Amino acid sequence: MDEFDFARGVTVGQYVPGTSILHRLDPRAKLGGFVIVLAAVITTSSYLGNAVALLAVVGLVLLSGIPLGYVLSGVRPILPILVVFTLFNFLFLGNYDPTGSRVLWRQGLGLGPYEFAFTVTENSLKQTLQGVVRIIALILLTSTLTLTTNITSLAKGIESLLAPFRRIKVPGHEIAMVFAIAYRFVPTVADELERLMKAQASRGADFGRPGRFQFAKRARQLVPITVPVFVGAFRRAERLIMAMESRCYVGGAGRTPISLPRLVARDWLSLAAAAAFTLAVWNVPWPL
Amino acid sequence: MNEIIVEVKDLWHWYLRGTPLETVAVQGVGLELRSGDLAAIMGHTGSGKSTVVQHLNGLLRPHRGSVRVFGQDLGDRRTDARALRRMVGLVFQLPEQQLFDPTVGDDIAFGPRQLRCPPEEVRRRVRTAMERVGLGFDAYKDRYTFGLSGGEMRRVALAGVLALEPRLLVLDEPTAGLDPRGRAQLLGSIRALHAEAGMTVVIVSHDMDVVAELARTVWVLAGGRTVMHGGVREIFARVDELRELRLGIPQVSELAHELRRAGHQVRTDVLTANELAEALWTNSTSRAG
Amino acid sequence: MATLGHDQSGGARLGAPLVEVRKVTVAYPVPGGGGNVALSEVSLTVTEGEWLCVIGHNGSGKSTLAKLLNGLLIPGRGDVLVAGLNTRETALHRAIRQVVGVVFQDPEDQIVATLVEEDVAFGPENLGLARDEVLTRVQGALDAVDAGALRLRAPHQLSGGQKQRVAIAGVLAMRPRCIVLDESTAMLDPEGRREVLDVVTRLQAGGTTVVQVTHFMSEAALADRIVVLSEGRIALDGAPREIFGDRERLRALDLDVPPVAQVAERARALGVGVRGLPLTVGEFVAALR
Repeated sequence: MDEFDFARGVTVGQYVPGTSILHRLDPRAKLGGFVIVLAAVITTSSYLGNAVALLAVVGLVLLSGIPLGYVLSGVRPILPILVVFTLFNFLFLGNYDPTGSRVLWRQGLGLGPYEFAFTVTENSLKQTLQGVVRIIALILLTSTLTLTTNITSLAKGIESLLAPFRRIKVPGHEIAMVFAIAYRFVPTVADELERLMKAQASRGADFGRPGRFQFAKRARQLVPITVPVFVGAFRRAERLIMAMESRCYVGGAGRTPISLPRLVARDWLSLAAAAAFTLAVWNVPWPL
Repeated sequence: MNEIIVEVKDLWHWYLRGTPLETVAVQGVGLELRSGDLAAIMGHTGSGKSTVVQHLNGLLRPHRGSVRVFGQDLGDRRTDARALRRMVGLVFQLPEQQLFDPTVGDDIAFGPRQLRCPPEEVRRRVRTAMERVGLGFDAYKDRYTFGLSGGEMRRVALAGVLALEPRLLVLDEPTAGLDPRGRAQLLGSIRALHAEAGMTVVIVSHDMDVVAELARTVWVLAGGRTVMHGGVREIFARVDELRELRLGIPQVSELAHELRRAGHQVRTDVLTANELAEALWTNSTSRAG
Repeated sequence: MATLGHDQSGGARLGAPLVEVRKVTVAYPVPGGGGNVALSEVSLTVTEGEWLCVIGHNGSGKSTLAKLLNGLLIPGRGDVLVAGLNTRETALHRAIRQVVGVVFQDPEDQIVATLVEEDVAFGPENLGLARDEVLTRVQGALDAVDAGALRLRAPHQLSGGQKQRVAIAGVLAMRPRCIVLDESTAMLDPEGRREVLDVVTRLQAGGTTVVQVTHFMSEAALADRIVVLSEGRIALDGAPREIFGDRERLRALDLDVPPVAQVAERARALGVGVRGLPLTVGEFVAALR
């Protein structure tokens, strides 16, 4: 494989066109549904509740028609963090358990004058496992949203939903614009990054990996990339501002309002389904 | 004849190979460079010229066919591309965008330092490189890189590659975005590098005026293939073919071509305004006489 | 041919002054103290319907001048009046920028949206126009630059020439009386440059005032009037034939006449009968009878 062939790896935030019902929903319905289901995912505090939430999210992925494997590959990059998080919680959280739940495992460790204890309580075990499930579900849910909604729709949806909050000075349009512009420049910056790496390699730069933990060295090695990218980004921003101002951009005030088609039956039904799901998850007396 | 230093045979290369977005960039290009050449690789955007040229210093490896540079086979996994980059210097388009050190001298010294040259050697190389691009060593070495003009920054970037002391120098669109003054200056430096420092020089460009001014041999690529090659004069005389390949034709060549079509017997393999003027004069005196 | 219709019909009369630059001085502070004077006491009038070309080296002040014309920059001294509106008044900028639109050098950094159609709609949306008016203008603008087929494409996949035409469409959607092209062809390949120049020629023929800032002498040959800037001042101002007729003065400014004119001058010096001062290939062939 070529050292510098980047473009294939970018999957996060990508839009994959399709004809599933999720693709056809109005972005506002999707954003609303996302927030509602997210609430269920991150607040239920029972094993079964968690499992059901995760299954529901997986169900949404399947509904989108996008291969599950592809969506799961978005989880891979954070696996190391997840492992570290799990390990730490597993070993240490039990030491600070305020609920006084039953201790499942304890191992003391004496190092000179210091004493460590690794404790796992019923409660800390639950917190740890739930944390993992929640993170995975969150990633899958967010991916499903971005994979089925193109950026323009998403930006319009955000702007439209935030529009009523203009009265209390929430800059809905500007927020949406920030996302939209950032997204629009992703391929441009990716190309630039590739060119830069090739150019620096052409004058002797070495981007091989020094060692897993030599962070300082790695950071130094990347200076010939990070500095030009930043300088380039600022210059680009300056030029973009001039182009935008030349076309009378002054922020959200006075702009033609976003026109989205009216919400139809399926949009409302989806929202209702999401709400029903979340209420169910909250209110069912999960035995476990 | 001089030795062959670059030999490209039936080269194929795909973008994003193995993904659904795979496209062929180069399909069967062949070319050859001899030591001491001043050559140009021409073609419009999408002809594959930049892809081909990135094989010359090992940034890309051939997917099919062969690329041999200074005797080393780039198809062989064991070939050390990094070592090859000491002999082949590749200057990308708009190279001023790759500058990162706030001090001019230090940015140029990056290459030699990566090569682990001792400090004396680094200094010598930086000084020589700066002189070759027309930036006085003492005047510029401590200047703030990002405060220089565009033309000066480009010369700093070029010096950064020259400090590696390559035997083969490849420049991708060297004059893109430069004004006439900067352009003349840069072309002069390139000519001097070829003539005085004995470097083999390859220009990749779609700007035929630059090619006409500088190159001696020309390779024309289109659709990922080699479609024409030869001496610069014979290539430029083939105006109709070049037009079909969507390449911009130097006004002088176009004028010679149109004059001939209007009935004037002038040579069409002219490269400069003076040559064409003289051809016209020769024509008018020979008709009168 | 689709006409755009100029909304700012107040006083749109061919030959009347549209933009007046009055004794303008612009200076930039420079880190480390001191200042850099970009323009010094420059006065210039752009008349409605003309094609004005502003030529100069990098650093001559030409880009600064371009940015003064729509109020992106305010002069330190002097005034710039656009259709009688003074650019110092920020409240007038909205009106001013509907009279004068600017197209910049880098096509990539002018496009804001992920879809061509949406990017062209950006300007009219900023003006708060009704949705159908926006759609009408987008269609008109895309047709005027021959980019109707690119409507639903993603800008980053387009060629340089196509991107720049989309950028022009984005400006045309504001229905300006005057378009300023700030080195808009400098980053394009010959084909892209041709596409853009064709569009500009058509627009000017349709009544749009064009101010083209460039360093390509061959582009200047197409203009009605040329202004040469050097070191922040106007060095020459006149019709192309006047300006190019004085080769010595141009040489003194490190500039030269277009190649066709060079051939004519040299041929005439050798004794070949060339009538007048041809500036294009076609003119030369005709001048040789």
